[in-house]
Amino acid sequence: MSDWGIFLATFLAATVEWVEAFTIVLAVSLTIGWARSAGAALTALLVLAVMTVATGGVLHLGLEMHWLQFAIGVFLLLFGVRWLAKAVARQAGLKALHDEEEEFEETRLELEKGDRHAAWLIAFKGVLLEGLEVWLIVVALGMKAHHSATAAGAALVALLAVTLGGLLVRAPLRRVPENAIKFVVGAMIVTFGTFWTIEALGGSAAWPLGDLSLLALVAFYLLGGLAIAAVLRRRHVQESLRSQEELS
Amino acid sequence: MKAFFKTLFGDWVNLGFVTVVIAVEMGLIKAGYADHVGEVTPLLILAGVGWLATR
Repeated sequence: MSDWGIFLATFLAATVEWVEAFTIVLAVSLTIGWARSAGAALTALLVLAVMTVATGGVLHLGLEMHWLQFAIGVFLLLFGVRWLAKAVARQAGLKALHDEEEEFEETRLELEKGDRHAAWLIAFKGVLLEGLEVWLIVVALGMKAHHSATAAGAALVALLAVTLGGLLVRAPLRRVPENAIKFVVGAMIVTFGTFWTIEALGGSAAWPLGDLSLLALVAFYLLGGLAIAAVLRRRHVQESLRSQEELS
Repeated sequence: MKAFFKTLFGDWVNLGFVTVVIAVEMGLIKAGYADHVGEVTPLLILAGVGWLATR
């Protein structure tokens, strides 16, 4: 698989997660100041970096490559199916779009109830939990073809881009097209999960086109997901109209 | 810790669905249909994504 495929998937996924983390850190900074809020975020990032290095080492211990590939493929499916389903639901209007302004306000209201120590913990936990998904993707995509540096680099570039963008506007990054990104990343991650689990179980003969199958799979999941979203949206609108008619 | 496991595995329905996908992949390969597993699995996954989206 190409370096660019891994870079793009990791960069996009990390961007979405870092935007959410930045919103929390921004809200906390209004209570305890930028220095302490950034300190909490940096502590969480340090924990994530240690986890990434440690996991990379542990995964290589005593596991044959095709079992490692299978295990990573399963995790990617667990993760990607969830992202894609959520993106389809949001595209279809069945689920509200993620609103960074709302998230910002919720965090700010929560902070008004707590003390400064609690505020530090909120920033730390926020970055850690959002970063866990980035960690999972970096470890999974970086492991198979020994592309750890590419995946980790993509996550860092995304972190820098989001931090710089956030600091420039000093506001929640609500213009980031989160659902479109989640759609693409979900399709890419499900693609890698499908490809690797089948290749690990059935050998390379299971994919006669080799890595070209990855492109076909991404297109299939993207177009299929959009088609499902369109069908669900139409059904949702019809049901809403019907229930409005029944009420009136 | 709960949030950590939720990040890794999602909820029980998500976990159950992926288990079914893996079981189908294994079953098809064991039954000698390795040539078709790459066609059946994406269809199954997409159908599951559609179902999960409505939950």
